[in-house]
Amino acid sequence: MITTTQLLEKVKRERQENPPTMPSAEALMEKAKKALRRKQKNGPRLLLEAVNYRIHELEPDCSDYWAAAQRIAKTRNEIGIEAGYRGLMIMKSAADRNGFYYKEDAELLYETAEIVLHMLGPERD
Amino acid sequence: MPQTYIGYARSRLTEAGARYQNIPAREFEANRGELAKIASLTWDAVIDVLSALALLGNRTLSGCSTDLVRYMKNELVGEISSRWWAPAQLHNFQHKPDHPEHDFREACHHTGILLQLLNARLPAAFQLPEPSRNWLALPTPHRGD
Repeated sequence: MITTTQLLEKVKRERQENPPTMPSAEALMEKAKKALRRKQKNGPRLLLEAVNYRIHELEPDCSDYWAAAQRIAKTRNEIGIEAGYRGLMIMKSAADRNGFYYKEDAELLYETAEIVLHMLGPERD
Repeated sequence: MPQTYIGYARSRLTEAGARYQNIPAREFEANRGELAKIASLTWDAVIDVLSALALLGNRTLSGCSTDLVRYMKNELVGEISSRWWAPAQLHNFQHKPDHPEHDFREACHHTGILLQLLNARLPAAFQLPEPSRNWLALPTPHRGD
C-alpha cells in the first residue's frame, strides 16, 4: 500500500524525469493527423489550431487569426500564407457544415496546413 | 510534348470558360451538373499545365495526386503550392452536392491565380493566352467567416 506522501514523491520524481512538454505547432499537427486518420470531426479544427498556434507565436496579442495571417503575409510579402490559410478556413467550414469530410479533403487539409506552417516558419531570404 | 499538354489546357479552359459564361447569373443550384463539368475541365487543365512544366524541367509526373503534390512542394514552393487546395476542391466538386456557390467561386478565383503563376513559369512560346483563363479570376470578396 502506497502512502500519500510516497505517492506525491513518486509524482514529483516522474515529473522531474519526464517534464511536461510545451505544446508546439508540430505536436498539434501530429494530434490533428491522428484525428484526421480516425475521421474525427475535430480533425480540421485541430489542424487550424496548429497553424493558429504558430501565428500566436508570431503575434502573441492577436485575437483574429485570419486577420493576422493576412497581416503576416503582407509584412513578409508572402501572399501564399493568406491563400493557404483561406483554403484551410474554407475546407474547415465545409467539414463543419456537412458534419463530415472526405478522405481526400483530410489529405488536402493536412498538406495545406503543412505548407502554411512551413511558410510561417523563420523568414527566408 | 509540352506543347501538346498546353494545347489540351488551352482547349479545356476555353471550353470551360464558354460553358461558364452560358450559365445565367444566380442560377448556381439549377446548373450543378454543368458546373461539375466546368470544374472537371479546369482541374484537367491545371494538370496539363503542371505536366508541361514538369516536362520542360525534364521531369515526368504520373498524374496521381501524391506525385503532383510532391512536385509542387519540392519544386514549386510558395504561393503555387499554397493554392493547390483550390483546383483540388474543383476536382472533388462533382462528388459534393452541398458545395455552396461562394466556395465554388472562391476555388475558381484561386485556381485562376494559380494558373497565372504557373503560366508565368512557362517559356513565352508555351504560355496560355489570357482569354482562355481570365474568366476564372472572378472577384470573390472574402466572407467574414
